[in-house]
Amino acid sequence: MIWRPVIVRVAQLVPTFLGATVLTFALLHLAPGAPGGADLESPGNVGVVGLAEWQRWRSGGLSPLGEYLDWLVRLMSFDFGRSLIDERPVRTLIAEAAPATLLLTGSALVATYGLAVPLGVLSAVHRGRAGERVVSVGLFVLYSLPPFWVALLLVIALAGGTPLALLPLRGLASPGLADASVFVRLVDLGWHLVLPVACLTYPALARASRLQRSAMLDVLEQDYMRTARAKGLSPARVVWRHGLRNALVPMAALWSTDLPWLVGGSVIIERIFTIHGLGMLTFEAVLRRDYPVLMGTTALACLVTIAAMLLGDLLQVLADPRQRRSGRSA
Amino acid sequence: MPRVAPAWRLLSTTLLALGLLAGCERRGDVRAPRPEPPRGFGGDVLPPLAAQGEPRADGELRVAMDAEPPSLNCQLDPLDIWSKKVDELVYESLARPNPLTFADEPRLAERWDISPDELTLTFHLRKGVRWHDGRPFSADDVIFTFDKILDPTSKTLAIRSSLEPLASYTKVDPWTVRFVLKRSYWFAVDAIAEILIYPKHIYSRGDFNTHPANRAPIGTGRFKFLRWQTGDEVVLLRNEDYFGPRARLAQITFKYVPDPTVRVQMLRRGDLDVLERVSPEAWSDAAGDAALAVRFWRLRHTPTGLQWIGWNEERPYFRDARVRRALTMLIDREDIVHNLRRGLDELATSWFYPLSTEYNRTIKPWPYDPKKALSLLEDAGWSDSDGDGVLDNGEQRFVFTFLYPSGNAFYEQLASLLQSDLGRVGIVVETARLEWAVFSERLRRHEFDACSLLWHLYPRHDPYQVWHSTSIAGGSNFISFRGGEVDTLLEQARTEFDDNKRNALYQRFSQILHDEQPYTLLFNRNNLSLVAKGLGGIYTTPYGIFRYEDFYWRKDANAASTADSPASARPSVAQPHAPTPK
Repeated sequence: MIWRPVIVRVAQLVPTFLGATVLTFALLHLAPGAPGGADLESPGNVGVVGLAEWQRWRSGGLSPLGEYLDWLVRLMSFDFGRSLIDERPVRTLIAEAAPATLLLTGSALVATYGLAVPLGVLSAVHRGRAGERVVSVGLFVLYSLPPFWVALLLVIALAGGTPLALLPLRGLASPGLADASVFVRLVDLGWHLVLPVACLTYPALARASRLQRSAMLDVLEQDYMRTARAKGLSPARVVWRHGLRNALVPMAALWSTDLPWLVGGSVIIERIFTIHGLGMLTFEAVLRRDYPVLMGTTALACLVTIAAMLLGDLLQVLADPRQRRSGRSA
Repeated sequence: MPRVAPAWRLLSTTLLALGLLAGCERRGDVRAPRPEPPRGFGGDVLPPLAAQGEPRADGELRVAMDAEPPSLNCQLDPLDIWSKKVDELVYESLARPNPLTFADEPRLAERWDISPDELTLTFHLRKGVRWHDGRPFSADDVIFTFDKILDPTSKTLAIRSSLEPLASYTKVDPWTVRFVLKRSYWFAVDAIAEILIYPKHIYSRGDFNTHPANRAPIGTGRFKFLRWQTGDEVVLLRNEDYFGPRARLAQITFKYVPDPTVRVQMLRRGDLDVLERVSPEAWSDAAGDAALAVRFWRLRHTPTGLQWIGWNEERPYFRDARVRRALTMLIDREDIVHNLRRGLDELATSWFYPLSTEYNRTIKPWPYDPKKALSLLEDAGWSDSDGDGVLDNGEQRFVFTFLYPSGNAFYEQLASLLQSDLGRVGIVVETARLEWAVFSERLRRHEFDACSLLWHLYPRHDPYQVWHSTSIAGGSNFISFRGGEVDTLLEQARTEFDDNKRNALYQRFSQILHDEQPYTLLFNRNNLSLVAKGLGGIYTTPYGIFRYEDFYWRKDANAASTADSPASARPSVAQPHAPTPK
């Protein structure tokens, strides 16, 4: 039965989701601290007095279990509740922040694999040569550089004016372009994406390209590759057409583990480049103990993770003809 | 609007360089003579109040916000810095403090009277004031605002508790409102007069906590709200129909930039005109950075922050005043200011805003004197009797935990400094770093030995909430300080309407704190800011750092402004900054 892993995955979906959200909910309620955040430093702040009263008023007198069930029931109709801090629906907050994160991490994913796949293939084909070694050492050096540090260096060097002020410093659009043509705005957007996407891409390159390299090395030793060469196909055609197609199968699994990243966002990069995305939304919700927002973003991440695992299984089944024939699970 | 003529910029730079070379005063002759700057104002010159060149009646001011406000209804979040700044431009109160004398000045109220028994306040409102949507303002709006704030379903606890002494309020006629107090309390007058008044015709429909106007305020102030792009910027436009003198700036844009390095880079590029709360490092470095030093004043002003270490008196070893005084003498506070704050702050001696009349200037800080400290500790029964290198009093060893919030390098450095300073004489300091929300909860529950925190102080500040013994439960008296005489002084001060007499009580209170040392006061933290030199009307105020509504671009010095420094060559797609509407 070839679809078995997929069916198992679907059956696991509901308990996984419940488990993850119950866990998050419990953690949030057990963690010390109260909604509101940095309200202490002003001694005139007597809000402190009413904190307990406020919390009771907030939860509407429900027990934690009741609160969770209430949340779950309302989730069925895509009602994530309201933020404790700015009182707006969590759904609106997520909808506001999601496009920027999707754009940012989506572009970074495309850039990562766009670079890692050819790099991996080339380093498999040219394995052991000096050039290949330099590239892999370089990739590992990049991998070990902390992104917040690199991002700030790039900001100062390429955007801050020492020595260059070439790239924009902040956000995803230049001010005053609301009336410009679509083309101009797209170029502007791309220009704003250069630095943040570069900062998200470079640390991910090493892992993806090494995986692609080892997958390609496996493929290069296969009989059908020798056959392809023997029948006189050009080396490029052998590698890129016959080899790469097969070496992409294991990569599908890697892609699916990267998908949750799409909605998780990156706190550090979003913060440095002032991009209003899901990473910042979640981060600020943690600092302010904004429980409904945290539950909302966690539920979203949880759903996408489960969906991504499902997709990974599907891709494995579809991409590997042997699995389709024999029904072996990956 | 082209912001800068390159020739101008070059000229002003050259003039400035010449001025520097000649070693002459940089404050040019273009400005009128001005009074002596108040004590504590330092930095790169520039007085807080001065005729700073001829004002231009247009232009945009771009200010960096380091945090995004949760809403633009500051009644709900009165402690959120940025919602308050924006709201104070859009909304108005009945009166507000003068930035220099700190006495209340008329705003929506033309004048007010206090009855001889100090229990009845009558505010006479200004006539002809209109909301930004054109509707007239009247006493109904004032009554409505107080109704909403005191409504138990409104999320206004913090403001509500400052109005606790208020017994009742009534509309006498459309232009007169009367407030009656439960008891005589001078601060209640300030509290009532400084509440921002909200429009009844807008807020009467819908819920106060979730009203759409909380994200799009309509007020009576000198600036109108234009838009708020979440995660990006809040834009205000000049109110052309303001009843008083119109603002000179046509637009104020608050740009959200969470990262401190990026904020400075934006300033260098000319994407910002004002940066508040700069770190001591960045502020000091700005002097040597040509892109910043030429175009921005480095201002060191309004020392609103008081940094202290508190000793929890529920712990037996901190109960003795001699021990606390010894601890103060063991901590080298000069060294802390010098090394951790780059020498930019002054040692604190009194629990009040340093430039206010409440501050006791006769107190001299305790010296750094480990020898004297050791003898004090010995008097209190602490010595190393068993020779293990740690002080003990026969029953227990002197070991305590210093609690501090995470995410701030200053506290890290302070913690290790405490460890080494106190460790040297045999006091073991363990440190615990906690995330802010957890840290503040531990303080409220008095679950700590010693801690450090910063209070934001302003003039006319009632210390009751922090120092009265009834504030131990539920107030901000985290260290459980119980000073019998202090309680009496604070109670007396609350009913004393005469500023001089009240200040005398507060001076005495400060002296007791100095002798008792419940806190080891470290320093008064100055605000460090960078402000474009093309700006004038630069008012600083302990109530919110700057008063932006009075800022303007100078006619003579617009070249020193921003926008196209050589460092900001931009890609062809990125247009110059948005033109000022209308």
